[in-house]
Amino acid sequence: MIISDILRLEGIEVDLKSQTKEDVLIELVDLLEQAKMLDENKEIIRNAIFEREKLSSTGICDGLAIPHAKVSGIKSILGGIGISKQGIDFQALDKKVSKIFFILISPKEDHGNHVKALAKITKILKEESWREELMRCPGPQEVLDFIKDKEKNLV
Amino acid sequence: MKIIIIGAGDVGFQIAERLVHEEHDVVVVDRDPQKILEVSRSLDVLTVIGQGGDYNVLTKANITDCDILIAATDVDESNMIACFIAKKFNVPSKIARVRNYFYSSNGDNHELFTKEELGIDVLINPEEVATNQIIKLIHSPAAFEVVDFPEENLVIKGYRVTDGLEIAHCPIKNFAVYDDLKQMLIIAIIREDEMIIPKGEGVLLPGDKVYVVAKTEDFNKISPYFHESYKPVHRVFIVGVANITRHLCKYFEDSDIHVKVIESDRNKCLSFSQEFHKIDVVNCSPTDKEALMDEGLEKIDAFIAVSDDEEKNILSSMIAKKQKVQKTIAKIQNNDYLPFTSTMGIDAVINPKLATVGEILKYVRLGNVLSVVTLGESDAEAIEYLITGQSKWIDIPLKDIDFPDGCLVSAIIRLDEQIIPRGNDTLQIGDRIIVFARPDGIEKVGKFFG
Repeated sequence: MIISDILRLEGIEVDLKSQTKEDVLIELVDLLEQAKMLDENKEIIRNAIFEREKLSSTGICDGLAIPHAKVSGIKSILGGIGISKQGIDFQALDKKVSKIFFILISPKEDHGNHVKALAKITKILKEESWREELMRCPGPQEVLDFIKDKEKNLV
Repeated sequence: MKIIIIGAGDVGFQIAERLVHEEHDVVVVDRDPQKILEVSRSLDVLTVIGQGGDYNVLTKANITDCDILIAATDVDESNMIACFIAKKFNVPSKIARVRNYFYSSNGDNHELFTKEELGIDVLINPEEVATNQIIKLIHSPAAFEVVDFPEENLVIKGYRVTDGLEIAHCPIKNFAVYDDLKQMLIIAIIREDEMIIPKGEGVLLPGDKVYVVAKTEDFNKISPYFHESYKPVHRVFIVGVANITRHLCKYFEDSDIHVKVIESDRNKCLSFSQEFHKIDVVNCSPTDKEALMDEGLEKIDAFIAVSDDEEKNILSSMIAKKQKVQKTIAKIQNNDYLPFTSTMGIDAVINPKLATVGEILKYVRLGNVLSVVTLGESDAEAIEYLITGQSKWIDIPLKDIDFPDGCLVSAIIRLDEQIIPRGNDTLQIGDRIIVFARPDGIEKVGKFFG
């Protein structure tokens, strides 16, 4: 599972406009659409993301949130990254605001890769200095380069 | 943190004891000078004599810089008023013990007074907590204790090891040959009075009590190894008309479970049958074996004795067990009886006071503690922590971490996945972990993961 392979430049936003949890989830799904990663299934995906969020927040801690869902009808795992400079109250478990959003959509059947992707994302972003480095990226290209670079380090 | 506890009875005292141990600043308020004297003799806390609903008393207890107010007296109304006053002083967190059935979420009054109006952030109803425990126990016939983490889809069950079990005398590390048990972890063994945390070593012996953790759905495969069969419950006796009886009957009323309530006081029988039309109420002594037999004692699946008379609860449960009732549950709050319950034929003990202490402590823990449950008979705890970026233990295989004595990482929850951990598993940022800790390990575990 290579994270940089499931991202597209157009699916990365370093300055999210949203200020609420609801808005940011919509903005992230829009981002995937804008990157032409979605076919006709945008509604389904957005609903799945909202449904998952109802169970418990995917805002884990230290400013990191991983909204995710499994849906049928998509061929491969899709990912997008959004960064909010001021942070958004995402009801994270540690009650801190969330700043780095990694949205992850997996085919319903592909359980194994979904879990591997989740594990890889948290590994890439576990160091505070790395999260700060990501926050400082001026544009999507730098974000993608950062992910590629860190992934190499992990191997 | 600064915590005011109102009420120095059993519940208030035990909470104070635990919180002092965790180095909080505790003030205990009670109107009974004798109780206050006992508290100040045995605990390092500030004490104030007076009513919890009295402005001057609360001022003396420094309510202006209080972080949490816990109102745990026996009187519901006093607890509610204390929270109401605390709200005026902007105390951030107010917890009230409220017992009366009609104030509870099942009662009819709860729409009249909402918690918010009264300034109560957390309302704990001991009988409701106890009822939930009873319901879980009836659905797990062989378990003496069931504790669940519903949001995480994980359950901890306590079972007794008997001679007939296939896994008795079998080394724990050989459990791997049973495919059905691969997803289960033995977290503790209580042998005589000692609690052992086996960490994959050792053996289960008849007479042991054992705590195991697994995903909720995996218990279907695991429970037969502890002689637990999921035969549905059809018939239940409840002894005593009490608040727990009301909560239980509310639950059973619309199910296909047939309930008979046994009560020796005729007036109580009459008023109860007016309250619950669909429930059979029998006016007889719960210790009258012949009468119980006439009502069909041999055919029931569970016997629940929750009257206010603990000795009657014990005696009637013994009678039921003699008639081979599969599951006997008794409400016992007197700790002196606890060591003898299993020899007396009581499968599970319900202690509303202890359950209340556990529930209240759950809300007092801070930082990266997400939840806490106290395991009833043992005082051990299962504590759920969030692993943040500050944790020192990320990416290190569990077998290489030098954990404090008396604790065990029992489960890891990674976003939506539950992992029953083995030595090679590692912790990641954002993981939630459930750590089982013996009473002597709780403080050390707090420092280790906190």
